[in-house]
Order: sequence, then C-alpha cells, then structure tokens
Amino acid sequence: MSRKNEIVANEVSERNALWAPVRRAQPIQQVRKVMKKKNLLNKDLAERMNISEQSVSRLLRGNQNIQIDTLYLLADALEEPLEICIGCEDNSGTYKFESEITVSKFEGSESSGVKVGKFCHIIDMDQHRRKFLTEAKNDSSLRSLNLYAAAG
Amino acid sequence: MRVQKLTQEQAYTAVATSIPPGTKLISAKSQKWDVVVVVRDCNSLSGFHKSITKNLDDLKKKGAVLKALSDLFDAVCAEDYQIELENAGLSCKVAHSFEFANSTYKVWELKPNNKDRLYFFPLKDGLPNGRKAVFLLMAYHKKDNKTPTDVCDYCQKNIKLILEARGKIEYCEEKNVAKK
Repeated sequence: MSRKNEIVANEVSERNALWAPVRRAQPIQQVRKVMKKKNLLNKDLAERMNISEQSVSRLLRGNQNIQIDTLYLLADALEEPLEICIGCEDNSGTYKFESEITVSKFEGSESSGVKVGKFCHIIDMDQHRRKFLTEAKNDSSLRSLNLYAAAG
Repeated sequence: MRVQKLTQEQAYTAVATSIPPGTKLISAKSQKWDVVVVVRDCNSLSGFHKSITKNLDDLKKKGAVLKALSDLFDAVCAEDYQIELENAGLSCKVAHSFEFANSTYKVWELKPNNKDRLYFFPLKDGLPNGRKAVFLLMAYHKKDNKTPTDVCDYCQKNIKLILEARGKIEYCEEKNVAKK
C-alpha cells in the first residue's frame, strides 16, 4: 500500500463531489447516441425493458445514480455490449489523483470506464492500445510475446 | 476580435484542475458547432474563465457547470444542438433578450440545476470559413430566481461586441485540435 487511506479518501470524496454529475451523464449520452443511430424511441426502450416510458425518460436525463443492473438492462435493450472495466489487464496505466498528476492528465491510460456501444468520435485511450496490440499481432517479431491476447 | 476555440478538455480544465482518468472526451472533429470564448489576446484569460474563478466557489457549483459543459459538448455534435440539449433533459432557455441594430438577440442559459447557470450566445454567421460557434459568456450561481441585472448587462455588452465584430473575428491558433 503506497498511500495513506485517509489521503486517498479525501481525494475520492473531492473527485466524487466534482465529477459525479458528469460521470452519471456519460453512459446515458452513449445510450442516446445508440438510440439515435438505431432509430429507437423512448417507447421502444420502455417496451424492451418492460418499464414505463416515464421511467425511461427519467433514466435518459442522465442525472441519476443508475444501478449496474439497470445499465445492463439498457445495454441489452439496445442490443449493444456493455463493458465495465476496472483494472483490466489491457489497462496497464496507473490511476492518478490530482496530487500525483505532474506531466499529463492522460499520462498512461484509463484504468476504469463504462462504455455502451462503439463510438468513433469519442477519444478512447483503449482504442490506441487496441490498435497497437492489433499491429503487434500482425508483427511476427512481436507475436511470440502474446501481446495480442488482449486486443479482442 | 479574437476568439479561442475550446476543446472539451480545455473547457473541463477551466473548471476543474484536472480530469480524472476514464473521463470520455468528445473529439473536436465531430463538433458541428465550435465552443469558443472571447479573449483580449490569445494568451489571456477570457471573461468566462474569470467568471468561473469568481462565481464557482465550491465543488457542487463546479460539478453542476461541468455537467452543463458535458451535455453542451455532446449536443454541439449535432446541427440542432437545442434539440439534443432537450433530449439530454438539460433545460436551455432564454435568460434575457434585447434589441440591437433592428433585431432581437437572446442570451441563452443552460440550467443544470435550480441555481447554477451557464450563459452562452450562438452565432451562425460572421465567423471565418462559415464556422458556427457557441460563445460561452459566463458561469454563475444565482442567489434568487431572477437573472440579476448585472449578469444581463454583462452578457448583452459582450454579445454586442461579438455582433459588431462579425466578419472580423479571428480564431487563436488551435493547439492539439484536429483540423476541420
């Protein structure tokens, strides 16, 4: 354990207060994009999830602390994969707090995230990693390293 | 007049000192509307940046404005950003309107909650290369229900300057931004 729990706790609490509204909104923004792409209405989602249209409308405001079960229900209703990734193998970067960030805000890579569907317009650090791993897969000199296992 | 185009990352870091890992950022390339601020020169802080320092003095207020920015950047990827904002459940209303050069102009506000506001002005013409832009004017935490007169006056004054500068607006050099 490299850092004291109370120091991390302060930073966790501060980060939650500041970023919770954005974090709640982000998966829902992705859901809305998939709905638009697939021409799905709130009514369709309501029927697929077996909930009322009002509930879907509330969910799509993006200000609720959605349960993981609901997130999976949404993804299944959209017929899209849902990835929840904390400390995944292909996320080799170190998670950084404000006090640790000195060089770049995105130094290393993300170590957590929620992703519904696939969107090319979102800058996804995982994509760069996957591209590298895919290239590594095709490179005979790197193939022996088994780097491509995580490329998916 | 000079304007600085903001990426979502730049807009976020105007409010928060850093962005947590895992935060998804929208690429500037996919934006149909630029999000800009008026600057005196390209190295100086805009009035929008100053309003954040002045008016957002706690994490809750900053969090609300970050949410508004998140939804705004998501919305400007569509031509009709107002419909996207409506779909996002973010209230977007006219905070103040005024007459100028025989036309009526509006100060728009984003309402992430009852008190916090993000004031902006959309401009479709008079920008280089036919660009369209949403000018961020001010972030504010209201004390009561009515939009204060000094906020209306500040926004009106800035919009008049923008309107007068139409056709002569220059973008500051864009750093680390994908070209259109």
